[in-house]
Amino acid sequence: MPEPKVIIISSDDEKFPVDVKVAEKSILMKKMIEDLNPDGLEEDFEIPTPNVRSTVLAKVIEWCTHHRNTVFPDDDDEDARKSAPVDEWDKNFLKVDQEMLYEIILAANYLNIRPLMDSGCKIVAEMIRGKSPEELRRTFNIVNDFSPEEEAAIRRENEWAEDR
Amino acid sequence: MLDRLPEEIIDQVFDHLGQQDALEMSVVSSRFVEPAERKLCRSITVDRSCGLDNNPDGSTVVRGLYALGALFRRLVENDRSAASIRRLCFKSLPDMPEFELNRYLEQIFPKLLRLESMRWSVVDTYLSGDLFHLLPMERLSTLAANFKDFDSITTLIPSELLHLKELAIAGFNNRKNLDKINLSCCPNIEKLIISKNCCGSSYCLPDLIEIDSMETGYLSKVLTNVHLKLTAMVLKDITLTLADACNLVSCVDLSRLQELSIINCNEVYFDDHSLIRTTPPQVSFLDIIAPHLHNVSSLTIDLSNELYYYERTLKFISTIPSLKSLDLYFRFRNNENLSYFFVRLMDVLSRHPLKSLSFNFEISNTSNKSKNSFSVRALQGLCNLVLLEHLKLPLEQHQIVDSFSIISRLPRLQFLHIYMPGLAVETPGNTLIHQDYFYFSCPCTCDLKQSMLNQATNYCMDYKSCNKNLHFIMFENSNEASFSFSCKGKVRLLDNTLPLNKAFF
Repeated sequence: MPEPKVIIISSDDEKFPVDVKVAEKSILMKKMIEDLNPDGLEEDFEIPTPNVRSTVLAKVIEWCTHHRNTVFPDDDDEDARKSAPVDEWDKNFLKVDQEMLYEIILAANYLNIRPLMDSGCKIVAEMIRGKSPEELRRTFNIVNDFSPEEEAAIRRENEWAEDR
Repeated sequence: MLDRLPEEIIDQVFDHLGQQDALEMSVVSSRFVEPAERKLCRSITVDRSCGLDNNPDGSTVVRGLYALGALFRRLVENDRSAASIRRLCFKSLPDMPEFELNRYLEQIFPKLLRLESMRWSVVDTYLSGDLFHLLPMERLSTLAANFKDFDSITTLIPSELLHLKELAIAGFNNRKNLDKINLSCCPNIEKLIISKNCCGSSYCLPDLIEIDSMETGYLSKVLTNVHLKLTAMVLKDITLTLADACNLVSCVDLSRLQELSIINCNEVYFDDHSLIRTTPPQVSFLDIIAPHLHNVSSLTIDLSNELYYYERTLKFISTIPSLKSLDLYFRFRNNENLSYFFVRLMDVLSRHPLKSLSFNFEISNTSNKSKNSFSVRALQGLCNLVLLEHLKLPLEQHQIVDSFSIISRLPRLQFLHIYMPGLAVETPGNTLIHQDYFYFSCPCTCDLKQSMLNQATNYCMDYKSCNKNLHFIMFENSNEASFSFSCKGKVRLLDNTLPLNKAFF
């Protein structure tokens, strides 16, 4: 008998059958599998993810499959997680348009996949690094809703952190 | 798009930003004002001497007097900013008058409602007990401070602190004050640091302060009716006795200990009444704790005794299972045969898979203080430590050439730190003139600092040519002047002294 699969269902009703090991990269799914099947999986198990689109879900599953055997640093060890550079494979994997990147981060957050979430956030932080406010607005397509006076006031509030 | 992400995710992205980037983001749009401020406030380090790119933990660094004043004013005015501070670390302060500083802190401390980590490692201004007690402590997981007026404190830890993982108490002044530290209030601590005198952020520096060998029983005072599961322990500037060792074994689960540091401590072999003080007792402090230490991988030992007797230390090092990092400091008598001792030490060390070794000594009561009489051949045993990545050695200038053959046989060595008392310029025997006087370039003496630098550069080239893997070489002399070189590829002098310590790995 083939091993029972976890079937993840996207918001647009597409079904993705995956191995338990792959699904368990998501702590949310891991908990669901454990709590609802205390004796282990005996038959296929469906998990709906009502706020993840199929294209995004496919990407997330691709990540989980690649990292099925990767051991990540402990969740509690915040410093180690923060200082670790983004994995080369992850870097290439996350070379997608901004919209997709945000959706992957949101999905990783919802499914509770800490290392994917971290990689995504680090990539966005990398895009912010070293840019002026004007460049940042252009990069991220953000409208400036400050008057010059307001902007100056914010600068003043944070001047203690200005490096001089 | 980025501005449409939920706040909690923006916070996580901002968590990875540097200080300047967070500042820029704060003025991009109103959406980012609060997340940027939260990021800047989350972890703050006040450090006058912090190098520009030398900020590994991502905390916001406040360097100057103006910035510190601005920070304090902001925190006094704005409760929200104060409440977003999780980590607060004072390393060195800009020149703010103490009364002004205390007035600000008085207003700010009670507002730090989410504070998890408080470090006060400033060595010239201490934290007073009154101020300290204004801090909300329920959430604290790290508490490290140099205290002053310890005599006026009644109890240091007034209530149970279940989250506390790391406790460092420095500057308790006298043994009696240890009664005021009630460790049973913090049953979950994993890292305990007890230092009689104040100390800076790295505990590794041997302090010049003499220990009063008459006052004993420090550990027994602080360890009463507790059972701690420590992973790291630092004991500094205190005396240790057999009774202390027994106490330690019964109150601390030593089998979990991974890091043990005994710094500038003195073992008291004899009580007041013993008249004959020539033979060491049968059992010593280290003998008692050794059988319980199964997991120690990092060890610092700077434990002297009045007989200058280090056989126990050698035995101790050889009984610990497998050490990765070892930091040794010995205080010798004037006429000791050092070579013989070093050969035996090297033999003991070769049993450990050491990655980091730091080793230094001083000779007490010498009139001619920079003469260390040992043959470099005695250190030949270092060649067996093939895993070594970081090495600190004391060498005289004339010994450098002999050391090449050792360095060339350490394939993994990356950091070499030479402590070279002789690199100082020979000064006339007049102690009234400070050494620094000779460093000024003036017409009558040539620029001596420059010539020291040239010399160090030459040595550095020589080391590099005998070991291609070296990344950093540092020379330090007895006046704490130092030259660091980066030699990945080309040899070049580094402006800032690199923190050549374990944190580097």
